[in-house]
Amino acid sequence: MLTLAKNEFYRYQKWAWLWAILFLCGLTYIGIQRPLLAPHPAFSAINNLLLLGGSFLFGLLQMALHKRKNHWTYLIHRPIATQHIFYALLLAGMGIILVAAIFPWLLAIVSIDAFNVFVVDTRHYVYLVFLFFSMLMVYQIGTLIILNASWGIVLLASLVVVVFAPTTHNMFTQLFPLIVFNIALLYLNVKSFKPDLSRYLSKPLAIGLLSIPMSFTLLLVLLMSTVVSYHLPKQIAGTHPDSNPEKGTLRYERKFSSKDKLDYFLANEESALAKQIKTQAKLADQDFFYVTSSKFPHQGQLHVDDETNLFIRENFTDTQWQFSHDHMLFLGYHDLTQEMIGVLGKNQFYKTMEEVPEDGRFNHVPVILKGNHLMTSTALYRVNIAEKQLQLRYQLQDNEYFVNTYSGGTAPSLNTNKRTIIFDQANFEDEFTVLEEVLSFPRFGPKRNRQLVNAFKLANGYALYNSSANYFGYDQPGAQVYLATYDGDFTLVGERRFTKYNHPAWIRHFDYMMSPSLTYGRSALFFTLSPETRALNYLLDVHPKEFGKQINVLAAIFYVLSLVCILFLCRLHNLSKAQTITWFILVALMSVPALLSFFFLNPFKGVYFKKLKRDKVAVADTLANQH
Amino acid sequence: MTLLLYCFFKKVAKCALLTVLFAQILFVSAANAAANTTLPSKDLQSSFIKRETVAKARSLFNIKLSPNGQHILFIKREKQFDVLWTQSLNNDKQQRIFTGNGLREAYWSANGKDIVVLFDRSIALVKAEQSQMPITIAKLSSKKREAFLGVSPALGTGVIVHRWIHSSKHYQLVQINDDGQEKVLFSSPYQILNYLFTSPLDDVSDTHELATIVKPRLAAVKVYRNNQTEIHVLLNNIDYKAWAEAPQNKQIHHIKENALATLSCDIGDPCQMVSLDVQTHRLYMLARFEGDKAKLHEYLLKPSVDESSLLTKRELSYSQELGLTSASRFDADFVFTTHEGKPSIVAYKNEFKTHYGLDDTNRLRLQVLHQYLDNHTEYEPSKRFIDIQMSDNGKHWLVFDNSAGVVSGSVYFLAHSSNEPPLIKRLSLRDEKDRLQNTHIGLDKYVLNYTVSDGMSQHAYVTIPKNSVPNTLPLVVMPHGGPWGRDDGAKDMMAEFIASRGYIVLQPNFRSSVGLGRYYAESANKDYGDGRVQQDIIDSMQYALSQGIGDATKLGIVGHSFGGFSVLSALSFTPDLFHFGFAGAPPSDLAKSIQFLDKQDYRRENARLRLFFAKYAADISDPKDIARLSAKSPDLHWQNIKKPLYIWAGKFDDRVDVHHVREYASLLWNGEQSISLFIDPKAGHSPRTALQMDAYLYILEYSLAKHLGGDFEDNMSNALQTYMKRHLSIDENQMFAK
Repeated sequence: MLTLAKNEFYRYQKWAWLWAILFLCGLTYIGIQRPLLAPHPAFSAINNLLLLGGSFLFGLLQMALHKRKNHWTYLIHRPIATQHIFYALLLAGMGIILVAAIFPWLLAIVSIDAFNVFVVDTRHYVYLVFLFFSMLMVYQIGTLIILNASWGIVLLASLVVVVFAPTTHNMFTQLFPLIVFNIALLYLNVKSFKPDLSRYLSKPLAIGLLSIPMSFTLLLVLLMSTVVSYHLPKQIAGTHPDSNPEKGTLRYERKFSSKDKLDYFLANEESALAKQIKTQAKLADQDFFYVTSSKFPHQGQLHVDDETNLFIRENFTDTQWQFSHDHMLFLGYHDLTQEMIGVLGKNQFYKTMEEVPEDGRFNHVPVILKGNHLMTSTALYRVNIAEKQLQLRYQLQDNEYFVNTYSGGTAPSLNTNKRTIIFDQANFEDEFTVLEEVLSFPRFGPKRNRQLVNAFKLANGYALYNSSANYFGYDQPGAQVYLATYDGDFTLVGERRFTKYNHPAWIRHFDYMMSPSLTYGRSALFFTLSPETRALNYLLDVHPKEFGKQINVLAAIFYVLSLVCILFLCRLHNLSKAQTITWFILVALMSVPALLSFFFLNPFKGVYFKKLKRDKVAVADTLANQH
Repeated sequence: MTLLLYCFFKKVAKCALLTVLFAQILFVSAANAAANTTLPSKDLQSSFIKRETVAKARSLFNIKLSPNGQHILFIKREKQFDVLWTQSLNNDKQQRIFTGNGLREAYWSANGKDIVVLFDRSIALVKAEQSQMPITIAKLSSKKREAFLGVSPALGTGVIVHRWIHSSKHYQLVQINDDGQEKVLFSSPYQILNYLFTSPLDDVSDTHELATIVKPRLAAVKVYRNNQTEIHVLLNNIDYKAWAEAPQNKQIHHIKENALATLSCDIGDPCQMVSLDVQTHRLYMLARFEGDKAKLHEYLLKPSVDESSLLTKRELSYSQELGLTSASRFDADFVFTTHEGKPSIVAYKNEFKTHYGLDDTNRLRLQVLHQYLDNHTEYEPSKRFIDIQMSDNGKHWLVFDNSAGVVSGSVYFLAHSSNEPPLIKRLSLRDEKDRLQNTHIGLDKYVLNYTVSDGMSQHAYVTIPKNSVPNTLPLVVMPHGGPWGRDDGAKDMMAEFIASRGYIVLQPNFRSSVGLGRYYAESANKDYGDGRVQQDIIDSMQYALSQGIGDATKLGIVGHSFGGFSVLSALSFTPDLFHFGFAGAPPSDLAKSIQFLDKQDYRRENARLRLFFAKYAADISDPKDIARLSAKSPDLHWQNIKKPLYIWAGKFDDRVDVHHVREYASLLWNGEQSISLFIDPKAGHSPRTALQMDAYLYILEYSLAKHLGGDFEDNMSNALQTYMKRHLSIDENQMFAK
């Protein structure tokens, strides 16, 4: 097996080394432009595209070359067990990945660690593990596409999204899905690697492992089918509701200028305050505050997940201060001499790391704001590198914590788990004044998916409004207007609940109709991997009855039809009892998408076409007999 | 005439009049003591005014009496908010109306039920009741040059706004009512400076019908036209019933077309429209016209077919009438009128401040007030400096005692009654903690009258610690800014700040000062820098020394804006006289400063500014005139400076170009002269925030203490230390040890 692996490795090693050298040159060039370990998002995207795309293509190529008729016969008849042949090829593939991608990255990180002032932490080396498993996963998807009888395996590419899209909170949620997917793919590859590649997998476990991720993708495909069946025709006819919103729908607010929106939202409010606010909004300056929850960096997170600035630079003294996740301190280095010039803990500056008491380290990874503020989940500091001063400017109390970092808007605002705090711009910028909130107001609006609060600056505070398609719960669009005064009052001015919808229910809840469990499962998965992920999280709060009776009945009809169909198809395909039970369970769990996955994971030839041919022959025979 | 360059010190003093608190005991925090300052601290006197007290002076402001005299309103700064309060004058109960951000001013509406609140760029109305929601009625557009001019007397609630219409190149006077509806009262191709409404007639008519008809109407406007200020009287007759029947659109007037008569004032004339008494058909003006002093003038409006005789004038000189010689040296400052528009009291800002009742009733009321103050204050009655606000009926007075040496923020309420003895009480607007700090500060203020070297009579103010030996104390000369401003007899926070450290402060009203007549201002004859004006300042100092005021071996000079220019002039042209100079925002070349101001389009009054400067300083269109002024400015004579100089400048100064200041300081620095330059990165022409003011005062008192040896508050907050170190661009005087 090892000999085969070696031979296979030697077969590609020249290309791998060439790739490695070119890639290393690329990394060096990028590293000259800016710190390699503080990458620009575009660089991360290109890096992923090159390495993951390369692994995927390599997996395809490697197996496609072996799959050629004579080559396959030659390969499969090696005097070792079939699965060992695959292990040998996989080992070679892993070796190529290590040479082509992991080696250049390792070299780059070690060089930075040894010769650069950039602080290299354990997390930077852990990235190599993450990268390796990611590449291995897409490599295995590539091999599986070639080895498996079904081309529907392409739909497994959605696994990449599950790995990369969520923002995770710890290393476990970062690596665990990767390891699980790799094990599953290894199992599927081993089972698919057999002399007769045209045979579909029949083991219940293999069927399940293929059908579940495939169904997730198919649900998305089904959702996209409404573009063809609904959106596109309406767009062509010029009657699409998004472009022609009906009065009484939330979408109709787009017909109003921002200053007139309150007229629409408060149309049914007759109170004196509501009337005043409507008038006042027209004369007021408009502000907006972001209230989105965002992820705070966690200790040891991958550097590619760093979303905030890593450095505090002090150009006057040519020094650079970077946070070390290993030490939970800022380490200061001189740019030119590369000497460490000090350490910054959560309370003060120190000359050396040895001086820092244990409680002097940061408890959480701070976020650098505007180059001169540090923010942890409960405190905001002003830092003056030149004068070695650290000043606590704002501290939260009583189980209150920040849920996002400074997020701009028209005035500096910070969001906690309880409220939104507004500061005065000049006060925020002025390091010599005590930072005092101008005003704060409780978080309001939809429980999830809060993004923006629009505000009108009044003489005594702000009129605030928020609107959403899920404002009062799932699929319950609405808007509320509040008055927040400098005196601390927070008064509901009025609200509007919209009972008209822009789109029919079957469009709005199409995914639920096709598969209730997958719709919930998708939300649960994304929420587990990344609680802050905005998409679809609100579904977790939704009781099925909120979809409405009509949709629930339709979902039930699709569900029953899917079960009937799967039984029929299993009979048609002459599947074994175990396979039939497996498919019945899968459809019972995932409804229509699982039914569709059946078509991808079972042969067409000899079932439908053969039957058709047989019918045609029968008709011809009948005609001949008649003549 | 509007004074365009006004004295910073005066401005501070005005703010301080109402709000400043004085410290009795100075607490010096050892923990905060600056380790790197080079001066030892001294045992501080009990009268010592802390920097913090000055820096946080403006915490309560805008105290205004309601039209019915039953309430006052005021704005209190609480943390970063401005809170509008009212207080009942019957039971002293305070009501918090609302909390805002950036309140500039507040006014009672004409009916006294609402309060007009001014923000930076908007105007709001709020009911004068507890916890009310203010309603914005107008946004002021800078593009349209919109500016609030006043509360409309014609509406129960409404305001008057000035506006520029670019498309038609016209100015408009617009009335905005409480629901935001606008009405153009007047439009003109000339800049509208002010307006005058007739007095309401509801008191003079017994018939309900007439009372409702005769509301206050726009009677006159003040415009800038043909290089002068003009008053256009708009009433086309005095037949009020005809007014009422006139269509609304007839109230939109255009100059020349509908103006009944025109009065002209030159650029140096205050030319204030006081009132128009519709009963007696009289227009009252506070102006100079052809005379030297600003006086109250009365014009009789005679409806006539012959337009040339529509207006007859009778000048009223109340000073002569009352036989008060003191007032004759000064311009009249303010005129109070009755509800009907008849003048009742004239105030003169003479050496201190004097109010003259124009009828027996008001003379008696003033007498009652002064008797009360005589019995309840410790200072000499002749040094009294009070400001008065009156209710509409003139029976309720709010009196601000701003006399030097008086507890700051002393406000009294007087309710006059024809049947009962007047009610007089002192108001408590601050909390107990603030009031405890309002202690007697142990300073006194005197007037020096003298003759300068060319024979002109002038006067100056001397602020001095009580019970001190005058000829042993250092003398600090503090010329006012402008130069078209003046020092007066009111409490001056900056002078008291310095004097409380053991110095005598001399504030001369050199020629070009205003309030002393046309001749006094014009006699400066554009002779600034090395010239007559500076000589006046030196002469005043010499006179003070000759009278045993100040130690001739310990002389210093400090000033802001033009006062700073005077400091540079003193060190350049009399280089051996003073031990040091402190100059805040100083123009080193007055000609450059005027050109800079012209480029700023300051308040969009270029034409008026140019005319004003051409008359009083230099004609910027005349290179010879500019060269003349430059040649006398200290800029070209920087080599003469021998003594230490401290300069404060604001980076965003819109009146004095900070680049010029920096260049001037660089010249001195390169010449290895003792210069310290602090450029405040956020300040404008004057320090604004508490920290900016703290830094300003620190440099001032440091320089005083170092060179004249007075008391010094050496404690510095960490913020101040950092701020000072960071922005002290040049420190040849070694304020911070290297």
